[in-house]
Formats: sequence, structure tokens, C-alpha cells
Amino acid sequence: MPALTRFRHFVIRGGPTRAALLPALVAGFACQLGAQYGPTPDIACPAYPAAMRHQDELARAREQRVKNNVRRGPLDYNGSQDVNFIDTQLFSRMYRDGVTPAGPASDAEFLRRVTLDLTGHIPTAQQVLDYTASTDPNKSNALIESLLGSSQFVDYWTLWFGNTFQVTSQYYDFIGIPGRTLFYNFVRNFVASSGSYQDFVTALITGSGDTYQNGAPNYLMRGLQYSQPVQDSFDEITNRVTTHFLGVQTTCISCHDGRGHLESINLFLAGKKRVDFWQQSAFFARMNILREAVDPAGAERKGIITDAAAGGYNSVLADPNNPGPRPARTGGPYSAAYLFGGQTPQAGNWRQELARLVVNDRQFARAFVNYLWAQLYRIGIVDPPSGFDLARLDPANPPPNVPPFNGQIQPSNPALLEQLTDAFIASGYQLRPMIRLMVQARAYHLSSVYSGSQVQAEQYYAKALPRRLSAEEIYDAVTTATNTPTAMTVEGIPGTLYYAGQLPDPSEPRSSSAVLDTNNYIRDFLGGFGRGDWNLIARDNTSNPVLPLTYMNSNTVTPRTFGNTLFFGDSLVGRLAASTAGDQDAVTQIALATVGRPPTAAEMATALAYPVPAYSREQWLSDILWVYLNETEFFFSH
Amino acid sequence: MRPNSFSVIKRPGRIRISRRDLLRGFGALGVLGRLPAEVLRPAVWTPAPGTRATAQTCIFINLLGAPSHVDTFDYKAGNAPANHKIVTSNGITINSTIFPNLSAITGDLCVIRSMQSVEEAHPRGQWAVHTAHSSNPAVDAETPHIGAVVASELPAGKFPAFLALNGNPGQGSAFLSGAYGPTTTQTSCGFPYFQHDFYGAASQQRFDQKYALLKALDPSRASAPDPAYANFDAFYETARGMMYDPAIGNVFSCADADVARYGNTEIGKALLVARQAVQARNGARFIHVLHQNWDTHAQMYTRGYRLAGTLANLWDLAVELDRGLGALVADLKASGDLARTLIVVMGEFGRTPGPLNGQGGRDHLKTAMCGVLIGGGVAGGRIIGSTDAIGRVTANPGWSQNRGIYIQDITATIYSALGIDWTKTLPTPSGGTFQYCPIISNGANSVPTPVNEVFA
Repeated sequence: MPALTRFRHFVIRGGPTRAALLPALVAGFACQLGAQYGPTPDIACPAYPAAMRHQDELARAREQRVKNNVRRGPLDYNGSQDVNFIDTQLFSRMYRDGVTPAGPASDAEFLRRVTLDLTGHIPTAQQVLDYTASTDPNKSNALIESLLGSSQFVDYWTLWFGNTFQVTSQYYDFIGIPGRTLFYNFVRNFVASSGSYQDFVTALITGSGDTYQNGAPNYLMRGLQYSQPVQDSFDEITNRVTTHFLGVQTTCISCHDGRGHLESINLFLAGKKRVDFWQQSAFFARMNILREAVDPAGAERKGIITDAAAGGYNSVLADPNNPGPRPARTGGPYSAAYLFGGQTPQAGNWRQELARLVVNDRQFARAFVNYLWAQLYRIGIVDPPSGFDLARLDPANPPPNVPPFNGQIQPSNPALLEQLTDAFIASGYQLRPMIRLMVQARAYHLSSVYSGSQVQAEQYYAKALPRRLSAEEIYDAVTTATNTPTAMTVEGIPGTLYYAGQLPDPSEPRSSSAVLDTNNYIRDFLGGFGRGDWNLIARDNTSNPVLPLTYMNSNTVTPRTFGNTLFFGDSLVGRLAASTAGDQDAVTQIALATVGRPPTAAEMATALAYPVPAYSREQWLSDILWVYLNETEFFFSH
Repeated sequence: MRPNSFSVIKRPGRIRISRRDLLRGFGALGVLGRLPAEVLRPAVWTPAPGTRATAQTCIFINLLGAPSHVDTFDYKAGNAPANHKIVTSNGITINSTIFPNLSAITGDLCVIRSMQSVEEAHPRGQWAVHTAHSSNPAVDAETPHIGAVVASELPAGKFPAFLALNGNPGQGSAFLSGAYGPTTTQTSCGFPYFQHDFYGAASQQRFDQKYALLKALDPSRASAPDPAYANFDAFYETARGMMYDPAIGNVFSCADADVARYGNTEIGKALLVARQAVQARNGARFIHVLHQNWDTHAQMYTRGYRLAGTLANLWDLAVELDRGLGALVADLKASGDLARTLIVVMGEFGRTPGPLNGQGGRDHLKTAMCGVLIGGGVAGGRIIGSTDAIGRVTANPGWSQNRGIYIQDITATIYSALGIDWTKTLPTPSGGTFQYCPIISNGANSVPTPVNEVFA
């Protein structure tokens, strides 16, 4: 009896550790193990009552988690307005929790938003008129299809990938213009051809050969480290791969074990060791990058990428006097093992093996749809999208109920995330079907005006969240609205480009030797609005006082509001001044061209009352246009 | 800024704050995770206790690429071409052929020869120059430029507190308010991409009318439908305050005679604008001036040698720096502003000593480097520390801490000169701690300390 009493003490505490069970085991009550951990406790076991209580607790907890996270909504949710499963997941949850979504966006709002979000361009005034006047009940789907099939779509999403991979000609002398242009075209071809994202990423991970002849291997060149041991290049490339393609930034464990550092940040990585990272990095350890001069002086070099047939990840440095930025490595040589499942290579070409493991990992699909969601819905279902904690993904398997996670899983809507993942896989890992799903959903058509709290808006996606336009989008919106696109030529890209959204890297458009030429102005404008350089300066889409200072005074903007000038020719103001359009018409045209909607009554009244009789008509038009170009909503996709 | 690793963490606003935290209202930090200006500013500014508080502005001349110390301010015999004239005055030996003006004002220079770096790679080295921190992907996005720190600490005027001339300063205000980020120009005189005189004499009136119409007409200014819109008007108001204000505009207009005197080069113009910003006494606190390309791996003494159009030989670079800096020091002295303006001249590390390499240049070296301080309470004609005979390692540290002097110590010196507590820390949006001057990763975990030996 004393032994039983001792045991019951441990059991009643609930969830005994194995150490706590040891005395009981020693005491010979082997049935406790089955009672605690088996599916059906043995009724004859003295631990049975406590075990059943424990089982009940587990079951109730599971049910509660399911309720919290995987709900499909109460039975009386009316899903008749749902366009697809995105709507079902989002609106049923709002219904369940008593959250009222925003009303629908107007036609004009939707047109401008989806045109920007899919192509990086604003609609023209005529497009606004046509779309708002159309009585076609299917017009929004027709609009979406037309955008998905446009060349501007290809421009925009090529740049979207470009911002992630950052393969710039100005990354030391590792890439150069030939490498940059080949890579740009490689990405562009993928986007244009509706290829499989699995094939695309496989090509990036396994890129080989001459980087001045092939685009894909320039992805790896961008991960090379300058003047550091080769292991640091392998490590950086590994981090890029896990971040870009699996949504897990692993750079922390490239320097130290997760334990003692990441318990409050990422439980999955907290359980990983630096050795685990080295084994992941080992997939690149057989790669050899030869830097070969392309000019006699050796100022420009290209890469020749090959793979050795043998070898592993070494701790020993090639140059002991150059230890690199990471703490010293020990042990090894390490053979490759996949950090996210332990798989080892089944064949000698380890990069091909890594590509196979990555692109077939469900997390590959999951990470991608989440990045896409974060772009179109502004906040990832897992946020930030590069910070997936794989130990906190599954509602059926939540983390322990202790701080800081308190049993909470990471995705704000795991069922939605998994359904999006399934859809992506079912589509053959294609980009357009996922974008179509996301923008066809009624949830994407909500207004950005909302009477509820901002907290609700973000947590439930209860309204459209405005997104400040990127530098390229703003520049292109200005030139489109004022009808003053400026020709740019870019080395390696045939023909003439007119839009910043078409530039293959932030070094463009390059200047001639004159300091104040047009290209310098464009680059300065784009830099001021946070384009960054894909290397030392991160893209920054936030705003600060220097932005309006630049914008209000920029030679890139104000002259575009003038009538016909030597520089900008057939500008909007020039056309309006030369036309017979009356004042109201003119203000309407200006509003349509800039903010994509007709003027409000208040705007019209204010505009018509402006200002000074001494102005010429052209001056009056130019001021009105300037004002609309400076309206807050001009700078946002809303 | 390990520029080579993709880091979403660099996108502001989502830096490891869980959405839960955001939703709980990380109130003071706002949606974008930035500390609002008001939180950081005391009502009345006084220098922090224990600081020297001798300067009101710092002009930081960043010799990008890492200048050769043994050819510039830690000159070693035999390094210059035979026909160069080496002079010694006030104890400072210097090549007067490449530094004709600076060699004549050694009485104003404080040369620090016992500096070292922990880095030998440009991006990491420059990151340390910009932020006084070692690049670490986990925290880089939450590490502001030292100029932003200075701007956040010192009393504001109408003029941008943090000015970056001749190029991007490589980091912004991070989690500090955007108001403390750099106002950057690629080239200095005239803010050439800006123009407010589109309408001739009527320009200001015209602008005022347009601006008033904007305020009246824009529906989002009447009521912001989303917090994202909320700050926009505030930014516009700040920007408008800067325009048409001669206090701002005059700083960027350069008289031809002055441009000529400063050498009619980009560095000369930048130093002229820096001088005008200081003399305006209107809130300019940290002026970062970029001068490149000091990464002289080849042809150091070949006049005219360029890479991608930029001067890349030490001789020409030294001459143009010397001209502008000499004029700057003379002008600030004449206007009585030198004593309250700390000028710092340095790069990110040193270069290999002894004979030149096979291309007639020198390569990277972290065991020895040098820096020069002028004005702002610093004593001239002074040398801190020394290196061995050829300039490979520190021989005599020459200061209280008896170890090599690192960028963190120089930063502490700058902060002390400006009256800023260099030991201060701030919480970051992700829950970490930002130290103004962090422990130095030199193996000994040294504590950053102002080099008080430089002060008069």
C-alpha cells in the first residue's frame, strides 16, 4: 500500500515525467506506463482512475484546441457569399467571434487596388471609367484574368522575386551585369511561362556552370562571402535557402546551438545544435566556385560552379589567419543531413539531393503561400513569413503551456494555411492559380474603411489593409498619371524601358558621366523612397519627412505637372489645357488619372474655388494636378 | 548588415514582435515599431554627467575603403615615392606633397595611431564605423546609425540633425523615430535634385498656395481611414517647414569662389556644405561625409588612376581631401566654430605595411589603423599611441585603457564630446537591448571608453 500511495501522488499531479515514474516502476507497477501513455488504460491497473482522469483532460484540451484553431464556424454560418475556401475560413471565424467585416470596396477602389497589387501600376483614367461603368456581373473576374495575363504582371512578380533573391550586378565583383541580366531573364521566364515553382527552385539550388552563360547559378553567387572562409559562404547560402524556400531563418544556429538562445523565439530551432546546421550546410560543401577573370586586368570575374564527388563540411579553415565572422568550428568533416527531417543524401550530388528534399517538403509549399499571402493581405498567416516555428504549427500538437508561448500555436489561421498549401500543391506549384484564389476571394474585396478596431482589422483580416507603394510603384504612378514616361536603356535588356518596375536591379538606370542626367534623378528618387540596393541598404517602404521634402521639390515630379515642355512633351496638363474640357471635366480627369476615382463633392467644390484669378488655365490645371499627386491615398494601395 | 544574408528582419515593422504583442498595443512603438520622437527627448537638454560636452556638431569624414595608415597619418619612412617631401612639425611626421595643407596645420591635428579593428572585410568594417556595433543578423535591423543616435539625443533646430553627404550612410534610424534618419544627398551643392524655384520670384507664394489647397482638398487629411495614413500629414508639415527657409536653403548653396577654394571636387563641396551647416547653428548635429575610394589594393601612387570612374589612388585622394579639409578647418577657425565642432577622419581598418604588394598597393590589415580628430575640444599637435617600426601592430597604446583603440572607443569619445552618455541603453521593439557603445569583440571583451587623452 505505501508504494501505491507514493505512486498516486505522482499521478495526481498530472503529466508525470518519466523520472517521476521511476519509483513506481521500481516498485513493480509496470501497468502505469500503459495507464498513462497507452490508448486504453487497463481497468485492472491500480493507476486506472487517475489515468482515466488524465486521458479525459487530454481529450478536453485537444477538443478545445480544435475549437480555437480549426473551427469551420458555427452551423448557422451562411457561406452562400463565399467565393472560395479563403472566405469560408475568414468570414466564418468573424461570424463566430462576432466581428463585423468592413463593407465591400467600391469598383474604383477595387480596380486600383488589384491593378497595383498584381502589376505595380495604377489604372488609367479611361480604365477607371470603363470598369466603373461596366454592367458585366463577371467584371471583377475578367479584370483579374486580364491582369494575370499582362506583361506588367510579369514585370511586377519578377521584381517581387528579385527583391527576395537580391541578385544585383553590384554585389562586389561576383555577379556583374551579365550575371545579373541572365538571372533576371531566368526569373522572368519562370513567371511568364507559368512554370512549376518546384522546378524553378531546383534550378536555383543546383545552379552550375558559367555564371556569365547561365542565369540560375547567380543565385548562389549572391550568397558568396567576400574575403571569408568558404564555410561562411556555405552557411550564408544555406540560410538563404532555408529562409527563401522554407520560411525558416537559420542564421542564428549557424553560430551557436539553439539552446540558451532561442527558447523564447523559436522552439524548433531552440532544439537544434550548431552541428545540425553544419550538416544542413554540408549539402553545399561539395560545391566549388571558381572565380575566373573575364578581363586582362582581373577587375571583372565570373563564377564557374561545379561539384566534387566526395567530401564533407570541414571545420578546418583554408587560412588560419582569416577565421571569418563566426565562432570557431570544431569536429567533422560532417556529412549532409536535412535539418527538417534528418534525411541524408541518397546519391552523390548533394545539391540535387537537397533540392529534392526541399521542394518536396510540405513546408516548401506552406512557406511560399504564406509569403504570397503576406504580400496580398499585408500580414502573413505566420508573421514574419521568414520566422516559421515548426514546433508551433500544428493545432493537434501545440507547444507546452508555459511562457512565452503559453500553448499557442503560431499561425493565426492554421486551417486556412493548410488549405492554401494544399491548393498550391494541387495546382502543380504554380504562381497564378494561387494569386487568383487570393484576389477572387470576397475577403480581398473589402473596403479599407472600417468602424471596428485596428486590432480586429489585423487579426481577422476584417478590412483591406493599406500598403504604402514601393519606390518603383510611386515613380511609375507619377509618370503614368501625368502621361510623362521617360525612356531608360539598361545594358543587357533589349529595347527601351519606361517603368521603374522593369529595372533588373537597383543599380539601374545607370548614369552617363554627367552628374545631373535623367538617370541620376530617377535613381535618386527611387533611393529616396526606399528602394535600397539589394546589398548594403535594405528596402524600406515606411515613410518619413524626407519623403515629402523630396517629392514636393523633386525635378522628377513638379515639371511633370506642367503643360507641354521641351522635356515632357504630351503631358496630361498639356492635353487638358489644349482641350475644350470645362473645369469640372478637367478636375475629374485629374482625379481619375491620379487617385483612380472621381472627385468627391467637397474636392470638386474646393478645386473650383481655387484660387487666384491671375492664373492661366494651364497654371490652374498644373496646381490641381500637383495637389492630387500629393494626396495621401496616391501613395497607397488601399 | 551582413549584406549577404537575406533577412526579412530588415523589413521594419515586423521585427520579431509577435502579432500578439502588436495587438496588445506596443503603444509607444506604433505600428512600425519605432520609438516616437517625444519619448526620447528631454524637455530641456543638458549634457549627461561625466561627459566632456565640448562640441555641438560632429563632422564625420568616412574614408570608405580603409586608408593606408602608414602612408597617411602614421607615416613610415620610405613609403612615399622618393621625390615626395616628408615634413615633421609638432611631432607629427606627414607627407606634405600629398597633404600640403594638413602638414601646415599639424598644430590642429590629434592623430590616433594605436587604433585597431576586429574586421578586415569592408561591409563588416563599415557597419562598425556606421553603428559602432559588429554586424549580427539577429540585431542589425535594430541597430541605428550613430548619427541617428546623436540626432535623437541633442537639441533640434530647423535643420536636419543627421545629414549624410556624398552618399548613403549605410544605415538609418532603425527603431528610433524616422525623424532622426539621415537626410542624404548624393552630391552636395544645391541639393541638385530639388528645386523650388520653378516659378521664379513667385515660387514661394505659388508653393504656399498649392500646399494650402492640398490641405483643404485631400479627404484623407480631414479624416484618416487608417493609421497608416496618420503620419503622412505630419511628415508633410515637417518637410514644408524646411522648404523656403533660408536657414536650410543657404546651407546647400555654394558660392563659386568657395567651391574653388575647397578644390572644386565632390569632397570639397561636401565639406563646404558641412561648414555652412555648422555655421548656420540651426540644429545640424551629425554630418556624415563619404569619401571614396580608399581601398588602394593597386597603384597607390599613380596619379590619375581610377576604378569605374572614381579616383582610386592614394595620391589624388589625399590631395583632394587635404584641400577640402584644410579649407574647412581654416574657415571654422575664422568663424569661431572650430572649438565646438568635432571633426573625425577615419576609415574601417588599416592596410598591410612594409613594401607595396605586386600591384603597387596595400591590402587589408586589422592590427593597426589610424584616425584623426580636429576641433571640438580636442588638443591639436598631439599623438595618441604608436605602432611598431613598420606599422603592423600597436607598440604603445598611449592611453588609460592600455590596449588598442577601437571604433567603439572613438564613438564613446564622440558621444562624450557631444555631451551624450555613451553607456546608455535603450529597449528595442523585439525585446532586446540596444547599447550605445557595446562591449568590443576584441577577444578581451573590452569596455568602450572615451579616449580622454585627446581632449585639451
